[in-house]
Parts: sequence; structure tokens; C-alpha cells
Amino acid sequence: MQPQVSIRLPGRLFPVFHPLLYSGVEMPIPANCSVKEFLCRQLNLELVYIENRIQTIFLNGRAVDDLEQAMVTAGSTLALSAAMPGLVGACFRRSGTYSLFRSNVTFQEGLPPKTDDQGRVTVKLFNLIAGEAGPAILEKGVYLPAQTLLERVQTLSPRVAPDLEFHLNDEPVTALELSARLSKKTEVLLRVLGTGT
Amino acid sequence: MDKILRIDMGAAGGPQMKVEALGGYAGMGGRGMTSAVISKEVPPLCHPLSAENKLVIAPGLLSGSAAAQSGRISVGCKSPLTGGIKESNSGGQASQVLGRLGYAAIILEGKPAKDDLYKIIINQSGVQVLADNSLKGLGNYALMDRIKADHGDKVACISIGPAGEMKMPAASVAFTDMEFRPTRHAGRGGPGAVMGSKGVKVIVLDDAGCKLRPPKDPEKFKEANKRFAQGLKKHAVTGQGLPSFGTNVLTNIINEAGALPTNNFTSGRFSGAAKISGETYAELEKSRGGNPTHGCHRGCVIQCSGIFNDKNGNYLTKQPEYETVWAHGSNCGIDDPDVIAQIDRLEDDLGLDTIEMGATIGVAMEAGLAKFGDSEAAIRLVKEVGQGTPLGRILGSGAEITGKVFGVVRVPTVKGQAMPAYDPRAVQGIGVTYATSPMGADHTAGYAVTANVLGVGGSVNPLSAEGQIELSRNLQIATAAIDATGYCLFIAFAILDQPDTFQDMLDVIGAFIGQELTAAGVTELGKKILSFERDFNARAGFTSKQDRLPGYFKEEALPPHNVVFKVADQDLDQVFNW
Repeated sequence: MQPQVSIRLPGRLFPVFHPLLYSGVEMPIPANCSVKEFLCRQLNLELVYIENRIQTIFLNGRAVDDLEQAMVTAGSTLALSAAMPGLVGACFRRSGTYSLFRSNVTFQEGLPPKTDDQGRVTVKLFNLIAGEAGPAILEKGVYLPAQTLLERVQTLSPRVAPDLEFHLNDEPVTALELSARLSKKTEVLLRVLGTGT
Repeated sequence: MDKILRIDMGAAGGPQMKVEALGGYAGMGGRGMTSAVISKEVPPLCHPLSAENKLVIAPGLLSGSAAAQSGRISVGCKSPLTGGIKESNSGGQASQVLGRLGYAAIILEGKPAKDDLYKIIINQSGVQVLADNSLKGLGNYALMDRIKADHGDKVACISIGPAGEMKMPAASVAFTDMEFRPTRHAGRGGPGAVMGSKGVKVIVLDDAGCKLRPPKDPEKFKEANKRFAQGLKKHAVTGQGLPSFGTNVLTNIINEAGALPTNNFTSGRFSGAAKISGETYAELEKSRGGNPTHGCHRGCVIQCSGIFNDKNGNYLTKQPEYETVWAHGSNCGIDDPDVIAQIDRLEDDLGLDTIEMGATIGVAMEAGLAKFGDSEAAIRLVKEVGQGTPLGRILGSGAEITGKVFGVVRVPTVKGQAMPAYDPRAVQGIGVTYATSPMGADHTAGYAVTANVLGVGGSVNPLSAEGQIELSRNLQIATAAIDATGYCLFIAFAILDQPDTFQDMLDVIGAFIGQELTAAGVTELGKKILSFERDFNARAGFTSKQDRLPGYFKEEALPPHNVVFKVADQDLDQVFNW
């Protein structure tokens, strides 16, 4: 059983944990499903938001055009972004005019599915999506290497650190105690909880 | 903007100035002006650093007006890097100021007989060309301190650093920003070396007493301009993504796609990408009292630039662009945002093209001059360029020459110019543009100005084999036209998605020049400019053999997707077959 870490912070400080989302966190996946189903059911994102805001999606590093055809399986990596600038940014937009430009790295059915015994998906959230969809995902709970979390906690600005409350397996701890007790752990289940502004 | 200023730097008795009417260049601006002048007036076979070459500096058609986002300025010459025609453009204050002073172009001609260095001052009263050898060897930042002491900080400057004085093929022309810092650069292709060959260190532009350029139809212009700016603000890219994170918002995405050139184009993935991403930089800037949302010139709505402070909270440089972060980050295996920012500052100061230098250091690292990831070595190599050491002279000559000198096969250039931050094996369409652009490998040569809103070249069947060729052709045509207007290319996203915003842009231009502008008119302008450029290159000896990527892009598979460039040569030869 992984140690469970919860961090309570004012909602305005969620961005200090965005770097975890840029490099990826793991979430459980009960069964294989389409990208669309994963976004709606596992990430609880609204369809309108998905259609309008998440313009760039990668599954295992390949650009996704059809959210219903692309299948998420255990071991997959799913990355979400808003629309991006530049010709190449436009190329990677879902079903965009320039999607042909990146046909070499477009997700296609028939690619061998990723498999992972642990039944998890790595989720990455970039740019505007991290700020908008990230808090709900962090509140729900994500798995990540203990060392990754500790590195983030240890590099927090002194101006921010006093506003954070840490709990390890429901027991209040300081940042220093958290570091000491997690130093030999490989993985944690993290929940970040906003407490107002 | 009804006049052209010509300065013959090699005239007997010292530089001679001549102000003349636009004549055959009427209706041309920005890239349209620079490419027309170079194509018509410069002998294609001349040496780029000879008296026969010319340096043309031209604001866009709308520059100096109240049109939002119209602050781009073009610099043209025969390139010392590629040997072909060059248009390199930049933001900053100069375009607006030059436009208000009424000049559609400054053309530097000839070559001084002596080794004197000159300062040119242009204001409402006229033009002065003054020898000032005390400016020799100054970096752009120190130079601006000197100019500020003499002229204040309300002027705009166009200058070169030591790299330009040493006539290095990677030398840029610098433009001051709103804070009078030399942070904006026409970097590609070595225009700084040509300015250096003319003996010009700095051009000081003072528009005191000048007014905004008036539109022909003020009411229509005002309304259209307001709608256009609103269109930019409401779009997710121009209204949120770019202002929040700058162009470097691309790093995480391109890395995820496996298209981020890493360790001299040997991989498309960099493990340290998140540490140098736009998201990370934005947080770092905010935490140090900098600002991730800042314009490079007045009248900018998008605000994609920013202010980067060092660890002590002191200004170091502008927010590094995506191209810089890639060039000196993943391409050299470096994941420290402070190191990349230091190099950005150095390049702005020395007057160097950030793309060319990053690619060059990547080649040097492959040659064994330093290890990938060695931050100190990367900084030292850039400093060597500024010092003009023998090694620095080689590096300052660009990636291709550095590769030749050190026997490196994997040199990512086309027509002698280094590739930007997208691996063409993963994004084949941009490889078509890299290969065929008259400028050499250039990511802005084919921008996301969509074919269907411009109606360029008919409709494209995206499933056809010819699709990438046709798209690249249409993009290059559209981009050439936009480069003539002075509009920032970043408007492309809003006009790509919002037909109303595209129409608003046409209405702004139409109201300004007093005649209706159609998509067909834009297309014709783009084709005309490209034709000037292709014609010059052909006369300079370029053939279809130069419209190719280096062979290894077809042979070496790029991880993680293990893809190669597959567009056939005969298809590349169809890009300009309109």
C-alpha cells in the first residue's frame, strides 16, 4: 500500500503543483475505453469543455483526431493541451487543416496497445488545461514517484510554504517530516485539496 | 511612408544621403519592399559583404499607424549565410517609429573605404551620418546606454553588436523594445554582417513631433481595427495561451509529439523539457518579480513576450522565445532555465541569431568540443564568438561551416541556414517548407494562415499525396503577403479560426490604403514576393538541388516514433509550380 499524502492549500496556490501535471501523474483506469470516455468519466470533464478547449491531445506521443476511436489502455500516456501557436502548433490540433503535416505521428487504430499490470494511465496536463482541469484531478488523487513529490515540496518558495498543510496517512506532518518519512518510499498517492482562496 | 532614404556609405568624401520617391516600389512594404529592392538592384552573384550588396530596412505597410499588431519590420540583403536572398523580420519599436517618420525604406549601399564606424540619426528635421569610432566593440546593451545618454530613451534604435562588426554570418540586427532594450532581432541569415560591412553601428530613429499615419477612411479603419483587436483577445491562442506563457508554451507539446530536436537532432524527446517549458518559465518569472505577459512594441494586443529576472530579482533578459529555449535547451541537452536565459542575454548583446547559434553549438557538441548538457561549455562557446577567437569565428559562421571544420555529418541546415525547433521527420509538412523556402530552413516561411480563408491555390484535399506540397505552397504565399503588411504573424491563429477576424484584418488594410482588399489580392502579393525571391536565387546559382533536406533526414530514424522524412524530391519540386 502506498503512503497517502494530502496537501491542503489556498486555491490560488494550486499552480505550485502544476509541474507535477506537466511531467505526468498516474491515474487508475478500470477498463480499456475511448479517449472521450476517459476524459468524461475518469477526469470528469464536460463534453463542451473537451470539444472547445482541449484542442490538442496526444496518446502515447501521437496526435489524436478522433476521440471515440482512439483507445486508452493500461500503460497509456494521455497528454492534454489547449490550442497551440505556430504552424506546428496548428498541425497538432485535432482534425485541423494542417493535420496532414504530422501524419507520421498521428494516432492510428491498429497500433499495438500499451499494457501495464497496474491498470493505470499517465496523464499530463499542459498550459491552460493544467490550471483549469488540474485542481479537480489533484483533488481526486494521483499516483507519482515519492521523489518527484519531495523535489517539488523542497523547491517551494518560502513565501508559499507556510500556507501549505501536509498530512501523511491522515496524520499532520511538517514538510521536513514528510521528506524524512518518504525518503525511502517509491510511490505515493497524492491528493491536493483547495481550501478557499 | 512616401519616401525612401538611400545612404551610400562608400561615396567619395564620406557617406552621401538621398531621399527619393517610391517610384516603382509604391505599394510595397516590409518583405515586399526588401525583396523587390534586393531582386532588382543587387547583383545576385556579388559577395554579400561587398559594396554591391545592399541592406534594406523596411517597415510594414501599416506600420506607424494605429493598426494593432502592425509593428514588424523587415531587413533584406543578399545573405552571407545562405548566398541567396534574405528577408529577416523583427518586432520592437523601430517599425512604428520609422513609419511615422515617413520612410518606406532605408537602403544602405556601398562600403566605406576606411574602417570608420558610423551612427545614423534620423528625425523630423532630416538625416545625419556621423563617424563615431568610440562605439567600436560595444555590445548592444552598452551601446544603448550610450545612445540613451545622448538621445534619451524615447528614440528607437537599430544596431549591431560585436558579431556584426566582425561580419559573422550568424550576426543579427537588433531593435529596441518598449523599455529601450535591444531584445528584438532580425536574426536569420546574417543581416548584421551586412550592416557591419556598411560600417553602420546604429541607426537612431527619433519620431518626436511626428503623428500617427492617417488612414484614408478613418471611421472604417477605427471600427475595423477595434473589431480586429477584440478578435485577437477572444481567441484562446492570441488571447490566453501566448499572453500567459509566450511562444515557449510549445516546448511541452512538441516534446510530447516526439518532434523536439534534442542533442543535435538525434532524438525528438528531451527528458528535461518540462523544466524549461513556457509554463515553468512563467511561474519562475512571476516568482522573481518579472512578468510573463509583455509586448515587444506599443500597440501589441497579444503580449507574447515577457521579462526574465535573475535569482536576485534583477532584470536579465526578455522572456526567452521557444526557439531560444529549444536551441540552447534540448538541442544542447541543457535543462536549466537560468542558463538558457543567460545565453539569450549574451546573444542579444553580441548580436547573434539564436537559432543559428543553438544549432551550431549542437553541432560543436557532436564534434566533441563539449558534452551535451554541459551548461558552462555552452556559455563559454557563445562568449568565444563575442571575443572573436579563432574558434569563435568558426562558430559565428554558423552550423554548416562549423560542421565542415570539425567533420560532422549530422548538420541540420538547408541552403546553409540552420533548421529551427521542429524536427521535419516528425512534422513532414514543415520539412517541405524548410526545404523549399527561398530563405533556407525557416519556420516562419509557412505559417498557419489557413489556405481556406485566404482561398489560396484552391481547395486542398488533405488525403491526397500532393496535400503537403499544396499546403506548404499556400502557406508560403500567405506568409509572404502578411510579412509585407507589418502584421505580426501571430495574428494567424485568430484569422485561422475566426473568419470575422480575417475580414476585419482585410477591412483594416482596406480602410488604411483606401481601397478594398480581397483575399485574391493578398494571394497575388504573396506570389509576387516569392517570385522576386526565387528569381534572385536562380540568378545566384540556386537550383532544385538546394531545395532539399540533408540526406540523413531520409535515412536516420528519429526516436521515439522512429520516423524518417519521406517526401519525394519530385514532389518538393512542385511547391512553386503555381
